[in-house]
Amino acid sequence: MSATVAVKGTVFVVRYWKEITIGVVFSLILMAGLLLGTNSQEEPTGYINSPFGKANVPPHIEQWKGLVQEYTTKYGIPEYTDFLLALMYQELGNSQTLDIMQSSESVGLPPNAIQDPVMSVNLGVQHFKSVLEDGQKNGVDFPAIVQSYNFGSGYLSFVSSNGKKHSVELAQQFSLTQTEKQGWSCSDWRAPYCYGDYTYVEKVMGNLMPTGIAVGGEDVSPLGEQAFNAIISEANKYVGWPYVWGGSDPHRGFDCSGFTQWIFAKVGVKLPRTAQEQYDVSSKIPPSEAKPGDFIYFTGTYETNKYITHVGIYIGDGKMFDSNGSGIGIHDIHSSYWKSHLAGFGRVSH
Amino acid sequence: MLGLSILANMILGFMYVGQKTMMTQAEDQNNETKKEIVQLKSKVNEKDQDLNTFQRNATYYEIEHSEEVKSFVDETFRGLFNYDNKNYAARFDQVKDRLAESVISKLKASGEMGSMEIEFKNEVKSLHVYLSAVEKDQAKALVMMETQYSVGGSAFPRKNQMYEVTITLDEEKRQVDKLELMGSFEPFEEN
Repeated sequence: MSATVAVKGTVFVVRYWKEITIGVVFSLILMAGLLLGTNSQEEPTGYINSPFGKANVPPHIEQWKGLVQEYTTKYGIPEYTDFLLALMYQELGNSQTLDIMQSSESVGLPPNAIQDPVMSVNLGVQHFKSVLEDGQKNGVDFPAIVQSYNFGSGYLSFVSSNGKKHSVELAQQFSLTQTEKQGWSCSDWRAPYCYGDYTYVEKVMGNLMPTGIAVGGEDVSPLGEQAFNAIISEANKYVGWPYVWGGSDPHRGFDCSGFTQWIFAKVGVKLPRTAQEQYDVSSKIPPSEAKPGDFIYFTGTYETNKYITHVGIYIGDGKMFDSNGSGIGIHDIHSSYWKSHLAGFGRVSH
Repeated sequence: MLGLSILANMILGFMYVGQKTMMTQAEDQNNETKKEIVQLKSKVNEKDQDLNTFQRNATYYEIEHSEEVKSFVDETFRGLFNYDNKNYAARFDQVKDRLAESVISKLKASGEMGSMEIEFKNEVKSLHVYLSAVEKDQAKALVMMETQYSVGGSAFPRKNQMYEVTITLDEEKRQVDKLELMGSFEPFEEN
């Protein structure tokens, strides 16, 4: 009996070998496709850490850019306009709700209770600014701030006491703790991390084009040509000097903020001593408006509870004049190191 | 018979009064002893506190006059602030066991450490360490340091700086876990 079945099987295979081969190959391609599709949904990879980039969002999100910019400018964070559009796309998807920044819950209302885009953006930008400030106070990196938008502010203190840098592993750890606390369970792709979405950062940042920093043109410095030239002339005197921690004059050398303080003092601009303090006194501007003579700020370049850890003078064409590990000189802000630590641009009045 | 009974009662009465007196005396003595015990206990506590204070002061004194701790701070500072082109980056490796990671991270510049073409040198000209104990296993040091910086062969005038550092004093390992520059100053005696 079994011999008969084997013979019949062999005859079947020989007769239909072409069809069988096509079927097997097709099935393999389908399985591989499904596997890749599932993976990309679960753990999207390849995103930028910096909030600066161009929002890669569809027209129904892009249409709100003007409104969002109006309120980010009003609340002093215009540099986050594109990031907020990226966040909006993650939150809204293709939903037609008019609570475009999903602000209802942040003011204690049921989801989508607000149906006025202006109110939604106004409240949404304010909420984002408070989350941003909380994150800066906790000294955590920007991805941690983004993840806290999904997990809640508890995540900021969690990251703050666990190395200050967001990672998927930390997000999973936080989610698991909260899942256990709530006694939740789930069977979707997140399981067993059922609290929030531990891939939230990757999804939001994936909506920003990682194509470098869209900085402004080579226009005349807002400081004025004469002052800007004086700054460059003074800065040029120290090219090649090493970085000296705590140094703020030529007699001891310069650290980053000591350098900017010394240089700007030459044109009558009195700056406070540290990079964080200089950030605090400068008006924040979006990267697209940065001009020569503006400040460029970085975060997380060393261990501290301060948000801003490095400052340089933006001189146009994607370059900055600063004092860093490779000495005082002109450095490329598009290098992967500086791009991943970028916190924003600022301007001081002359 | 009646007389005998009266006599017996009188004897019993005297005995009762005698016993009562003895009991009162014993109670008084007992109370006195209790008081003495309380006072002794209080004195013991007092002496205990004195002993603790003495031991703590002895430990603090030991820390504050420890030549080893002073040398540790002195050598760490000289290791950090005596540098030139050759050891600019490598000096951190020499003192990495003496400093907490957060302190090293702060002292190193942002970005990658590179070698500089310009000739430079920083020399520690004088260094004074003043210690004060914070805990039995923690001390603070005020460090007054005079340095001379030169770039491209030109030496600048000497500069004075004051630092405050916190040192953890483990039996096996000492480590600077906080470092703060309190300021740079010009000593002044007469105008």
